Amino acid sequence: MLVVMRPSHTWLVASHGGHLSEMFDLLDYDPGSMLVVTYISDRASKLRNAVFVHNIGRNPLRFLVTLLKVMVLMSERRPKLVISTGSEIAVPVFIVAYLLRISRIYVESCTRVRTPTFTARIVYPLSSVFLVQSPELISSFGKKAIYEGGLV
Amino acid sequence: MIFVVTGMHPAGFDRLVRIADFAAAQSEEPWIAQIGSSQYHPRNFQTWFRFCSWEIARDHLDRSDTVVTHGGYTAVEAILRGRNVVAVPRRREFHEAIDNHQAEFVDWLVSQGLARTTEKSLELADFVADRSHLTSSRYTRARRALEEKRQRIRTFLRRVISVTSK
Repeated sequence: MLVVMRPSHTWLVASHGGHLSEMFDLLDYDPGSMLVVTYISDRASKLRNAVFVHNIGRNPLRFLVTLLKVMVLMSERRPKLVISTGSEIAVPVFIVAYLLRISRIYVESCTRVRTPTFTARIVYPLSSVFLVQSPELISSFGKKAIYEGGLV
Repeated sequence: MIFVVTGMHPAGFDRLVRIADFAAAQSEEPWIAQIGSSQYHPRNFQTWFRFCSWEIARDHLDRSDTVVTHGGYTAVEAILRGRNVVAVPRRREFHEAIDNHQAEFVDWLVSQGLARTTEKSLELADFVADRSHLTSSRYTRARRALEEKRQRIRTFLRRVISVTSK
């Protein structure tokens, strides 16, 4: 389901709620300036310059459908960069971006102090830049993981 | 005004809504609640709704004195706006979440004096009425440290984006 599409170098990818709010805050998001890829929800429906996908949850069929949709979109639009705060929506996007050699930044949510997300573990090997917001999380990942402030 | 936030979780957060509803019965102030998919029907709030747009949520955050929230990002938004924050984590034991990261997060906020936590409605009513800790030097220091840390990662991201866009 497409809403408004404008050429956009940077895609912001986040599931609804806190992940998206955090993304907007981290980037001082100027509404409409970057394409937002997020889940269908009433809350997000008024976003300008956005693409909506179904909530993947742990549903393999939805995952595949989203993967295909993202593959078509990303091959057409060719952003330079995708940034995600999670959660699972990052996985299909990062897989496609990895294959298309599009830069990928993952930022683990600042609400994660000691226990990383399942998503983070999956996208770690796929990320160009991988940020955690608590120094305690560094030891959960390899040497690619960076801490540059955030919460703790 | 007290703003209650349960977030977007598909199962809602009945326990928080119930605690807040009982606390609201002890309170003279208006309570507005976003209850998500919770099944429990509150009786003591001035207004409640399930979900709302960002603009409305931001508006409530800006106009509230106290924010009672699940242990998610809203707690950070509320703290950065200088609100009196009470955070109630979703717990795996009650099937409210798949892990206890919210409890770890809330414990950290409490350890810094940035928020308080409770599972009891009477205690919540007390916390809502008492905002004195917001003027303490401990709180001021902790909040400034949080703002600096968030600014640091924002600056880093801006730099990475501008390098990648070239």
